[in-house]
Amino acid sequence: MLVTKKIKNKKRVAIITAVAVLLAASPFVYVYAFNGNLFGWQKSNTSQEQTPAINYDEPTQEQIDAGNDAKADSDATFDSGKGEGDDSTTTPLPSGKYAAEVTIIDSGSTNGDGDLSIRASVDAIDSEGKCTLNILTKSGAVVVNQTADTQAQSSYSSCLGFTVSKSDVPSGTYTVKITYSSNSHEGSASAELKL
Amino acid sequence: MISKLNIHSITKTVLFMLVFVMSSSLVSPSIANAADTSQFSAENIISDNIFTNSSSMSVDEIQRFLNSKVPNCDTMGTKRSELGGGTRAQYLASKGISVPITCLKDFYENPATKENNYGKAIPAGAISAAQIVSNYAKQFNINPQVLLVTFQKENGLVTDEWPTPKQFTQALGFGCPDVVVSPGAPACDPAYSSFSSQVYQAARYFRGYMDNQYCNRNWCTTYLVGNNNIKWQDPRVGPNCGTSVVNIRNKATSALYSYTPYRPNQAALNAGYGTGDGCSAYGNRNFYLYFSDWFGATKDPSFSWQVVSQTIYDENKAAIIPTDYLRKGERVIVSLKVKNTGSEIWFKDGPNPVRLGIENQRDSAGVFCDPTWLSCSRIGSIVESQIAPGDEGHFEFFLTAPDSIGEFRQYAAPLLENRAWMSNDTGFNTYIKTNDKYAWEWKSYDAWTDSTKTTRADTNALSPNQTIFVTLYAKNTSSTAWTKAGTNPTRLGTSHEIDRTSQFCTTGWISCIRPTAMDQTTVYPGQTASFSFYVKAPANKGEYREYFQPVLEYKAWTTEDFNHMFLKVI
Repeated sequence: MLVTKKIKNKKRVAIITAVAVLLAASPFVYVYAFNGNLFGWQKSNTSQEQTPAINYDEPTQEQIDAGNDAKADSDATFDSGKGEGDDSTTTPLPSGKYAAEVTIIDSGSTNGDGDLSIRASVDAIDSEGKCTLNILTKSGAVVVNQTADTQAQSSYSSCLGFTVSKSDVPSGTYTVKITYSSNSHEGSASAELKL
Repeated sequence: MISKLNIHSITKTVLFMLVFVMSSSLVSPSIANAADTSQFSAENIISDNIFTNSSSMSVDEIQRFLNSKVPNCDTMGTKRSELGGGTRAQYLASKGISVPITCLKDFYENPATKENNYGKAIPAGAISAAQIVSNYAKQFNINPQVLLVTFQKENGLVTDEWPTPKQFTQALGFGCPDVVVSPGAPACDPAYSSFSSQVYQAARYFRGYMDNQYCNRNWCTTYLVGNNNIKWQDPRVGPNCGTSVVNIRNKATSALYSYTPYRPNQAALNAGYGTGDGCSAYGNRNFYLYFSDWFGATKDPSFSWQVVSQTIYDENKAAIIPTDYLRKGERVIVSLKVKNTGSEIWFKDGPNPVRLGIENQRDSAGVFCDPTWLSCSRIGSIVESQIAPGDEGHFEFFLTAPDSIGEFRQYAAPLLENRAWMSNDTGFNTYIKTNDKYAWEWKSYDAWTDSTKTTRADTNALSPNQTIFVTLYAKNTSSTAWTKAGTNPTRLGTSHEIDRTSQFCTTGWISCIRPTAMDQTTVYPGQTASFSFYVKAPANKGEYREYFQPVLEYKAWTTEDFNHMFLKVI
């Protein structure tokens, strides 16, 4: 019995040692092989990318402060259920509406169909707001007039797609004017268009 | 005999080795360096590939990440409020909010009922914030890291140890105008005033921007790939700083601007996480900073290059060779100036040295293989120890022209050894013609009445047997210097057929097949030699052509040229 046990023990030790050596050596064999040293091949035309690391470190103080900044920015109300608009700094326009900032993002690039594409954003989110596009000649004559609804984005709205046939606008210099109007806001912006 | 104790010792050793091996291979390296805003590109903030990598983190990894960013949630608000008003609990109480506080890592919400556990028990059917992020990231195929970073840049929610309920209901700023001007109007759209709605809408819109690159009557991605006027900041919160044109390069960057429609100015970028100037906006800058610091590069590593210039020198690098004509077997030095147009630094040494390799067929033996090459498929490494993105550097190497006459073209391209090739289709190529003669170029000739060169001679109106003095100019375009004396003096010889007796031969010629030697002592590659000698017009009226070309006496002729001297006897 004692002899058998010794042999079994020796076998266990040998197996465990072999596994340990293999496991310990495997990363080096892997690296050596992938450097092309073992097999002599060169990896080609592929990027050997590393898995992006995730930073599990504690945040820095300035990252922590970001939360306090957010609280300070909306200090007045939190979720108190009251109206949350910042009514202390804004005065209505003579029309009684509030000013909306309109930005023309693209004043007339040519799209794939050869038509003109005009994009604009509005710094307001009103579900009933409308955008109006006017393209005017130097003398003020309106050559294009279109109206579009708006699409609410994360923190603003955009005018839903103005597409103008190039045949409607002969070569020349024009003014592109976008006007926005809703029950509560209004605003406009202009840009030059050269064709 | 091996005792139980010994077996245990060995087992412990094995286990230790296992743990060592496993830990060394599994632990992710931490991102030690703070993000560098000099690498921020307004045109390409993040790659499409990274933006849409929805499997970048498991739910457990998201949870572990959230835990790491709030090691100690101030649940009871006992710490002093950074915003004044006593303790945090007292400050919140003054705003109608009672403790306990719930941090993002501990937040649960039922997406169907919108009920959450802020300050109370977890409601039925609620799932963790990590699970909500993971679910919507997968549903809309958006990287959950994008959503986590957006939490932070919108409301600082990831790192906040005493967030308010509002930071959850506005977690991603969705439906929240940057400025609310109507008195009494809600700051944010009540339709999206839950954490899960915020995550759902943000992920949904990001996907919409990615999939719908147009702005028509049904959908509008506000900022499309291409040129866009983008504001520096909202003019209602500061001066009107106008817009700048940004040529957006990819859909992911288009999505970021469509979500946050401002471009950070240089002052914002210079400030790191800090404050810039009156025209600074921070949303997209902070997105870049947080993403880079927490999850690594926002762009896939790219390796690309451009050829700036190529110069061929003689074997001793004493002169530039102004031709692609080489003698068979001739050795020259090529200096290839290249620009690193990718996103990664090129290194001369290390595990992925940047080398020039034979392309098309890739890794084949190059036709200009020289003994100095690393191998016949690897021409050499960059000269500089490293070349940063946007910088220029060099490859410098010998070429040996094949030992046969013909025309040869060799394609080559840089590569990161063991990693990737930088092919632009088939790379750049060198075209070389070989000959057994030296290259030269006929330039012109002048004629005078005599060697004083005071009066020009009209070679179209010569008298029979008139003697004139001519100078023929020839550019040395070979890689070898021409010398007037020595063992191989450079002379002018008759050609077509070579060594033919010239009909213009006169006294003063070396022989009637060799008008003269070169005027200059030495003419290096790229320089022009002159050959001056008397010519005697034939005795009979008529038009006469004579062909000459330089010869390196006792060594080799120069290449054949069909230009000729023309005389007309009237």
